[in-house]
Amino acid sequence: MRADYLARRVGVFVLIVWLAATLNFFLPRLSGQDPVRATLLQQASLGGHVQMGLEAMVKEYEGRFGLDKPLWRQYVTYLGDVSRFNFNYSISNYPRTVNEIIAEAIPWTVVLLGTTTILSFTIGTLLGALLAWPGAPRWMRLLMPPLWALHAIPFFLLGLILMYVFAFRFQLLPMFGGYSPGAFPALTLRFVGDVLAHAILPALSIVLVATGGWALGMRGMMVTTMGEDYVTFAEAKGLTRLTIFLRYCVRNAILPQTTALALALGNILSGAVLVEVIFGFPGVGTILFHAIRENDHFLIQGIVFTVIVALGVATLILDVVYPLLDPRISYRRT
Amino acid sequence: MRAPSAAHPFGTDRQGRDLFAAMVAGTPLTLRIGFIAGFLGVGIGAMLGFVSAYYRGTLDAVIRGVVDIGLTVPGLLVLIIIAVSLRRGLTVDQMAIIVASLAWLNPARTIRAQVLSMRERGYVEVARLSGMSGPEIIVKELMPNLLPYLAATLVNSVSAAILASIGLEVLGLGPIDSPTLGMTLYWVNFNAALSRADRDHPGRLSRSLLPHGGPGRDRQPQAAESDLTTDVLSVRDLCVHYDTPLGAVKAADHVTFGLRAGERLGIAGESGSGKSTMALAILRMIKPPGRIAAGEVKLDGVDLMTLSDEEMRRVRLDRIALIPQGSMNALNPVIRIKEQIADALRDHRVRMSARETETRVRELLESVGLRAEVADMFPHELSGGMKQRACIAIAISLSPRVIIADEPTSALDVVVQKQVMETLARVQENLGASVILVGHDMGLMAQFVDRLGVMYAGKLIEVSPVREIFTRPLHPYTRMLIASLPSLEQKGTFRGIPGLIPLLRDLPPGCAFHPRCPQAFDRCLTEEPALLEKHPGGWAACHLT
Repeated sequence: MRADYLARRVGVFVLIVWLAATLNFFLPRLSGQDPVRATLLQQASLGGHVQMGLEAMVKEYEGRFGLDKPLWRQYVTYLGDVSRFNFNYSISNYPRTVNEIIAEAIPWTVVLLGTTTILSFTIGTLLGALLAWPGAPRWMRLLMPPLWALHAIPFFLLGLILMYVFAFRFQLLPMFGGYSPGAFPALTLRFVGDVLAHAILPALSIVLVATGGWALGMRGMMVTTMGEDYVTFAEAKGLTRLTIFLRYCVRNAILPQTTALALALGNILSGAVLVEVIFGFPGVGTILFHAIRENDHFLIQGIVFTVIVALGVATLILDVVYPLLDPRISYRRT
Repeated sequence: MRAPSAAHPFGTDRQGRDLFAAMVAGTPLTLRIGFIAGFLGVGIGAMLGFVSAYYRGTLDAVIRGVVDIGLTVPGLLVLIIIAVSLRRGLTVDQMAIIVASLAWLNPARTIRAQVLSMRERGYVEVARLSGMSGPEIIVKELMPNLLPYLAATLVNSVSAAILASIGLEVLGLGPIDSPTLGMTLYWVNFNAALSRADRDHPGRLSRSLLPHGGPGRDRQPQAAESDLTTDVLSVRDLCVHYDTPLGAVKAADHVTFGLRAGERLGIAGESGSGKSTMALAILRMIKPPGRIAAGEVKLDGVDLMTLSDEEMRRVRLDRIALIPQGSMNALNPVIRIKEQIADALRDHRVRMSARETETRVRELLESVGLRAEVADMFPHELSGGMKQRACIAIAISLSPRVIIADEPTSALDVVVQKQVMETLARVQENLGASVILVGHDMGLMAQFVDRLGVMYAGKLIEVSPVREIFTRPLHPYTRMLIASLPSLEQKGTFRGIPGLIPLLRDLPPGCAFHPRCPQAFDRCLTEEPALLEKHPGGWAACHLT
């Protein structure tokens, strides 16, 4: 049963990656002519900063893709490239490759998104569990309205508000970027502190909003779980309140939370992309923003594909961990 | 860029454009996108959801597969690819359709789930049996019932579409020529990005904003074990009230009885008569809005009502154990059986090594007729009867003085019922514990208990030895309850008790049973009878005897 479950999840993952790659290939070609080629020509006619490498690039490009070959051959070649994570050169940053640029941005996004998601999920889930627990201090109930309100705001809007208040009005924190201009990236205390100061506002705009959502979801699940027969029986067993809270209520209420996390990853990421743009945080979102502005198709495709694969991996991990949390899952035919 | 003023309430952007005007012009456009995409999304989603849930089978599997995969892929990124591919000269309506291309996924999923739960309902079944066709049932039976839900989905869908469109536009992927809200944000942000290039922001470190470690948990102080001497349970004038806006409802009213050592006492009554409430009240597990209004419950001479919460917790299972209703899912679905026995031992400070615990768990399981391997199983791997045995194993794990079994065999089939009851009888004899068996099955009571109490409308109206109660019932209600049992001599006839149980919040004056009592006389209408000993061992609350 385990192997069956795992195989199905991996299958879905492969399917998603393939789907993303295919969309990436065919959608730009739907508009008739090859927009990649069009972009190159357009850039060339503008005579901008790309011109110097253009000839070499067009050559490389045609050779690699074999534009004279039939579409299905191009598709196969493309799939081969993609499977090796080869996205060619960035049009707007020639001669840098798409991979180099993405590799530079990924750590920023992974750290920002990873930290904020783990923080907001943990804090929100714990908060939600306590909000539903009759033994929790009374003042906690005052947290409900602000959580509701925050939950309804999109990340980037809260980001704008925070930026206005803390960076613009009171100038407590830096407004923009990943570190101060002129700072030299190095592993010194000074630089790390600088990076942290720059990350606070983007992180806060994600954490504040997301925590509310997790807390509200968990509270609802806790209320349902606390009405379950096994909680009543647990109390009749004379278990301590802590045992009942953790092993019986939270342990069960957290299952749908985990499913929700897997489903929400895409949304969180979409929201975080915009937060990065607003704060000019040097992550994948900001690069995407610039790539779109400069019509850098290779870069856009590379980023979109990388992100979808990364998300697929994260979802896959959650899917694989889930049966460890819920022993019933591997037996349930979906 | 100018700050807000009287002429420009929201200020202007770098090009001197009035932002208030931009908002006024942009809002209808953004709303238009939201509504078109939202309606399209719900429309398509509802159609797919209905078809998928109603016809099931392969079609359902395909639609669900597509939706599930679609929802896993981050929507904004797919929209980005679409928008990038079509970018040149996007109009507002095209923008709406781009957003709609993913907006149907969520409605399809949630509406499918709704329809699935609805198609099993009685009226749909009836329509199907009366020969309505599939589409007809969808339109005539399901649609009207789902309309409120569809409306709610629509609201969600519109707001999600607005957010998605703004998200795209902030990235510059919207209708460049139209001042929708998102495009206004884009231009503001775009310009801000330009102006940032020549500004310098020295970073300042704010350590106070860094997160600290999580809060520590306090352990509850352990009170000293209270020293209880041998004696058994006596319940006196136990009252449980439920506070409602219409006043207190008396779910248990002055319930009084005693339980002797090793005795099996049955508490019978129709559902709603207060028998389960009484069982929970003895364990002090009544939850608000219910409360124990008065009374005492003495266990071995100690009044449980005077104990602290922590002391009471230790009494549970150790002195009084509960065997839950057979129909309940009383076991935690995500924890192995042995863990559910071990945590009880642990929380009652039983000092045992891991190995001793393991041995003890196996002993307990074997004593209720379960194989030792059950210890490593999860509840969903056990049958109903096995689960109930596991519950009995938990209940006897600390050798309690009193076991309260609350309809332990409900929802089990007759053969399993018998096995469970035999198990219960055996462990009770081994432990020498007393048992209170709560239930409505008079046949089961007759076989199992020594003495039987009958409850009606929250009151105990008769307590007598079981042999006497079946041969010489004192209360008319008891008599009718026994007469309602099907018997072999009178095959074919089935006599119920005429009338209905009165509402607890609206009890008749006098004896609560008088409206249904064939022998009621004027005293019954005004005076409430007390529970009195009518002959040695036979107690009843009735004016007749």
